[in-house]
Amino acid sequence: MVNRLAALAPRRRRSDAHGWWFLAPYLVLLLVFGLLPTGYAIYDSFVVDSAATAGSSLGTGNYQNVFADFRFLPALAHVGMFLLLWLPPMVIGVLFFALLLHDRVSRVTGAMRLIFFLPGAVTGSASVLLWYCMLQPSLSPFAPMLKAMGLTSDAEVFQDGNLTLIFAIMAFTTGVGQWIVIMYGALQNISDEVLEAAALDGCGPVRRALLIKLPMVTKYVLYMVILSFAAGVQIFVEPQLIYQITRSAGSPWWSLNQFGYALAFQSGDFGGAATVSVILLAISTLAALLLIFRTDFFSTEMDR
Amino acid sequence: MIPGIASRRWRVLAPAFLASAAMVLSACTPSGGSATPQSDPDRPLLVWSDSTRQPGFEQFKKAHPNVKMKIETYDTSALLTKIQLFNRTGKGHPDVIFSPLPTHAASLSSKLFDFAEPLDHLVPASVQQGFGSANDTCKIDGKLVCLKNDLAQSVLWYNKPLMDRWGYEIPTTWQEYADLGRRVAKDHPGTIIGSAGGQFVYYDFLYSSGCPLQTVTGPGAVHINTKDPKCTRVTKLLDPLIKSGAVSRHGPFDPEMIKLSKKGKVLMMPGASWYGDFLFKPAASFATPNGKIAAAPYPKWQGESKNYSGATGGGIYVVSKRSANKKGAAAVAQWMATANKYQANAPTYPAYGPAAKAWGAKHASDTFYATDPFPVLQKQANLINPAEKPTVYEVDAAITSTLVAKVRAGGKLADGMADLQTQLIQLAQSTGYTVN
Repeated sequence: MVNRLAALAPRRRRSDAHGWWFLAPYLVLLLVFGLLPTGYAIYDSFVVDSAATAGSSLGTGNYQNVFADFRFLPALAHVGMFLLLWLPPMVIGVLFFALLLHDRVSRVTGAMRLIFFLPGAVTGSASVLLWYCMLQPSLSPFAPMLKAMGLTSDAEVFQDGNLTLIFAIMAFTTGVGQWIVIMYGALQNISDEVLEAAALDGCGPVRRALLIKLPMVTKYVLYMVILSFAAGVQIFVEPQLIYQITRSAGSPWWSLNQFGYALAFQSGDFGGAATVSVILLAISTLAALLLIFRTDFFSTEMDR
Repeated sequence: MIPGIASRRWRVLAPAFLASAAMVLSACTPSGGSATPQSDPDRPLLVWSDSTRQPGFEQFKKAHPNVKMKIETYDTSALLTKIQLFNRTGKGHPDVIFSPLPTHAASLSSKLFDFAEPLDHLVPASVQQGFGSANDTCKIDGKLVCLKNDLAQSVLWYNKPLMDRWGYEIPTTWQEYADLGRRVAKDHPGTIIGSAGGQFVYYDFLYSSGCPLQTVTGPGAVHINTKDPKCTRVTKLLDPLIKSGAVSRHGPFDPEMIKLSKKGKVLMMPGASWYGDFLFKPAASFATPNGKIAAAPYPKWQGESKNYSGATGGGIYVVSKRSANKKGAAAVAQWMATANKYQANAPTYPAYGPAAKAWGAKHASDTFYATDPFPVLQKQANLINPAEKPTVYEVDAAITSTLVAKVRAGGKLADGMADLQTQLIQLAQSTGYTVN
């Protein structure tokens, strides 16, 4: 796909203007609902409101307050642990299922794709409730299984030590389906000739998957890692809802995003909330840049 | 800015970009200064209500056809944010707000939000007297910044037939309560006389004991000390009872607690006045059969003269400083808080004394209760411990992530006290309080 684009390079100049016209509606929306609010948040994070004088001044006071806040470091640690537990299994799981689906295309492939996709079709908040009911021993249809693991009450299940793992499982089930479909689409792009040639050379299904297919979809994998990382850093729905249901598991500031939310909605501290948003943006952007420049993400056949 | 684009096209696109940019920026520019308008009785009122209080406001509208008003229900968790936004844009403020959170009295009257109009001169003194001590938590820095809608004073809920059958006396002191707990744990294992596995452990035990967790000592100053004997006596009382199983490690609304109750294992539950109608009664929670539940006065601590209650919530009416019709707005708040027409049928115990009497008369014939709980509720209504006052920060999360987390994980309340101290101090300081 990429090399075909590269072949078009000489003719690209003329179609440029048309391209911009197609992009224009998106650019307007990006500006109004993406870039301007982001810019405003960055500006707001440097506006320090003082409750004492009811005035405001420019400065880094919000950043000092947020970094010194007792809720910041624990939230950062929670999010880091969550990413460690969730991101690698998610990437490996998606690739495993997509490659499995792609290896033997038969009549059940479509049905399987649908089945993989279904958990992801349940929105985040609904899936949290679903998982709560499955993990709450008094309500769960799997209660005997939970009891066999020595978990007899929700207090034992939803302990602070288990929360990260529980949220990782929740996020995994909701996120994995859509990526399997996208990855499968990427695998469909690999030309049959290449795969046939590999088969003739005596390449078995496992080596074909790891040595032929995987390198050809690396860019999609990176794309998935970048987007998933950004989504994971912003984890909010799972801890927020579980705290509201149990009123004891986690806290209203378990994750960074929740901490920002608490600042804005409980203490009315807009500057602090904007600061947390900017920190989240910085973490995601840094991670994305690192991945892009550490790999040949934007390189085409022509550059090599 | 965009390479390769023809300037002609850019001229076409530019107005669109600029217009949208202006749109966003104009919505976000803070406007300074808030003129305090005169009170004009003809100005329409904007009322913000939760869904429970909405029928009450509708009743007011029906009874006063000449008052122009618009009633909107809003999401109470977003209230402070919305007020902040209105403060920045300088318009959109509602004239009257009902909020279910007592802490909003402190927030909305603070300099940061600068919203609550003092009602000392807008509500007649005779009406203010009718509230007794109910409006104490509405007095912030010496000004009456809200009117209390309902009270959530704690009483001792108990299962009367069960107490009679087992021949137990109603405890009048916490000492007797602990003795009862020891006997229950020995004679009827699995039966409980209270719960410590929810944030209510603060309101029902620590608040009523006068443990200084939210003790406001002056403008922007708060006293926090979990080592105070008034705190340690609570942990010393409860920890052994929790260990023996007489006081549950679950919160009152947990599914496990509902199971216990349906098995008839809840003998007693110190808790808010609304527990009767909202915890014991509903089919979705305890679904207690008729003629079982009764209320007793709250137990007294050794050496104290009064048997103080805690308070688990209690809604408030707040009038806006920026209202162009403050008299009208205050009249709505006053009617809602005091009129029998609404309060006699209200879901929770009315804060206004005369309205509470009418409410009690309505409840006297309720066959759900073994004995009429109203006389007890009325007595405890004036015994809410005055030591604790609303602060702009909420303490619930600090309570649950320290004390409650410890209890639910099988530990002791006492183990969470030091962490609670740290968290509360940091919460107070992060919202601009000086801690002493």
